[in-house]
Amino acid sequence: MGVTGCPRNCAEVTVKDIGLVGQEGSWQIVVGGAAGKHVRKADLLITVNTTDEALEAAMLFFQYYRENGNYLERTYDFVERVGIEKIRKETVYAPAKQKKALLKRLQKAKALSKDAWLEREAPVNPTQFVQIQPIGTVIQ
Amino acid sequence: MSWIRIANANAIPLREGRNVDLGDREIAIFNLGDRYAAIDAACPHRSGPLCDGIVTSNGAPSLAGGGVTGHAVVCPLHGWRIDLETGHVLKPEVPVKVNVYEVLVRDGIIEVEFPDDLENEKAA
Repeated sequence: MGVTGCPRNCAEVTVKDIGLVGQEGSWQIVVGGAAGKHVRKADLLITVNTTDEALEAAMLFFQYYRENGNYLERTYDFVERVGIEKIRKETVYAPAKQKKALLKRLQKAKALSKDAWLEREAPVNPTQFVQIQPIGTVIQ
Repeated sequence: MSWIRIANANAIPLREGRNVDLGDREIAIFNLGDRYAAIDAACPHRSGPLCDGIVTSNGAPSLAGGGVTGHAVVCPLHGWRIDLETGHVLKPEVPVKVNVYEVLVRDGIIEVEFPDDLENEKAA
């Protein structure tokens, strides 16, 4: 993801999975960019006026990708496979009810996710990060 | 051949694996629910930590009949899939295998049989 505050795009958000480009009085939300082995310019999802709308558009795309992407499929492949027109129609230009449902499902999933890095301090079980030393003697 | 007492059975959570230090070698022991499995700790590809892999089915038809007929582990580094029963690499299709160790639970303790000679090492 990338967020950039002006149209000069210093954060290079047009090559991110989801990019938010700040412009005078509006945000452009771009999706499906890549800058690794594969380079792809992101497609414009929508241009909106407020920050809330921008975040909503990003979340709508994110949840739509979560539900429709293939396993291990990156957004740049996903956007090309599904097509940006269809993605627009089913996310930012979808009926209000459909959008609400997408956001609700995203929140439901987010509520259950937890920070796995915290397990370093508080392991889920005593052997989580431990190499087991045998109780018995190893005779070789 | 000798059996080595490893750890309490509950030291390895369901469908997870743990690395075990056996002195001159490391093995990975997995809790498959109804039994345990033990193989070499390192993936034969690039030595990925197999104990941290996800335990899956080995591809044998199982879902229709209920119950899984076989297990495999997917290496977390590059996705090699290794059969926990035979040690054979299932994915990709390469004629490579890891050592498999006999494992059982006696009085709540996981025990592993330490073989005198292993197929892989005889060849080497």
